[in-house]
Amino acid sequence: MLFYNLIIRDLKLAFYSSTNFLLAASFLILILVLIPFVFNASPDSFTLLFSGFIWIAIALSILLTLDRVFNSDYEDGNLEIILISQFPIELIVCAKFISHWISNCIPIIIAIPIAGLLFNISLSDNLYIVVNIIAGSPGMVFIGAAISALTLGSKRASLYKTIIVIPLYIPFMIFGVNQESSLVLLGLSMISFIFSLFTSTYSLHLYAE
Amino acid sequence: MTNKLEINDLECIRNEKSIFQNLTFKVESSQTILITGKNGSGKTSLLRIIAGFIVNYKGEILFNSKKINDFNKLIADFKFVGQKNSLKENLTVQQNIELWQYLYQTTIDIDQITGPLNIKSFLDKDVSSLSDGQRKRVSLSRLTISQSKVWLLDEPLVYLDADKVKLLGSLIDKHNKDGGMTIYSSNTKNNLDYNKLINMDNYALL
Repeated sequence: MLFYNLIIRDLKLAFYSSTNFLLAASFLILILVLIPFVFNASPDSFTLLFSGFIWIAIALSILLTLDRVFNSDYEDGNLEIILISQFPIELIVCAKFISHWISNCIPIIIAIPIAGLLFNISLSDNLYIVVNIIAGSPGMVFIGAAISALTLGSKRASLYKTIIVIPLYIPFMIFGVNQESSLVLLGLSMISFIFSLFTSTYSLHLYAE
Repeated sequence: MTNKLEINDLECIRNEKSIFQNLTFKVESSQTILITGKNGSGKTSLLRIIAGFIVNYKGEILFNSKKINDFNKLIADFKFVGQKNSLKENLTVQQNIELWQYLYQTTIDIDQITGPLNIKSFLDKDVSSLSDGQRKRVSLSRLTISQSKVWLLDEPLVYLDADKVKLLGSLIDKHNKDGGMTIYSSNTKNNLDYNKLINMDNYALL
């Protein structure tokens, strides 16, 4: 079935070009490592600020990877092959969402406890952060993927993507820093799934025509 | 079983402008059609309409008397190799072929796919290190993956040397003998054998 095949294909593609697999997570760690250099603050305040920093880092890391959801396949012509397979575009979009989340957000989720060690974060706090990210990151990936589908083929796609995506990430950041709001994040992810599914499907239909 | 592809009174519209109109022709099993014409006369658009990528057209396309006017229809019967090579630059040729298995949802016999266009010698090389001709050969090798009845090739001869054009010619001959049909566009003089020639300049509204 193409749904599973597409997920496996995208994961293999990310794995073969291993820089893809590690890009988001290493970018996230790099941002976090740089932050203490620009703040003249005590270690305790870093611990306080960590959960805030991490959401900014996640937003930027996901933004960095968005070109790979549809754009790379669009540029080399593979998207056409995928689109004319006898398969509903909605499911193609879902497969793309899932594989992109696995290949970019799972490395991020693994990297966060390691980053937490650098900032002297307690295990329970780390756990809260990871739970929030598991609940919120799918939504961020969905929104990012939808916007990258919308800007497919546009000359200034990267610019538009950044300008449109970042404001849409603000709700995730607001609730992300609050330890008790993982259910709200989950809700946001679900809402963005619906929004993104229709937007991406519509954009790919437009592109196909 | 013989197959038949009929194009009736086709008009292609891009960006609300008509590119060509009144195009009618018929292709049967074992035939090869060459499409020529000036740049911008609609050669690629015609192939993309038949392949199902462009749905904004007037007229009808019948395959074995069944209408194909919708995206996603009868696609297993058609295989399109466009000007984009559809290869991942940072992967090796073998890895690219492995990914095709998932896209075309079939198992690939590596000997069967590398044989016809002689791509075995650079299987383990990165696509980014190949020449344009080698990339084209890898890209065209996907034709052998599954049994599609209609091959649609957009400028397949660009970058190929005379020997490789012959290899492609024999691949197409074999496909046509097995009941397939081939439609390709080209502007070079060194063309493959063909049964019918369609000059898009006669239909284009330039």
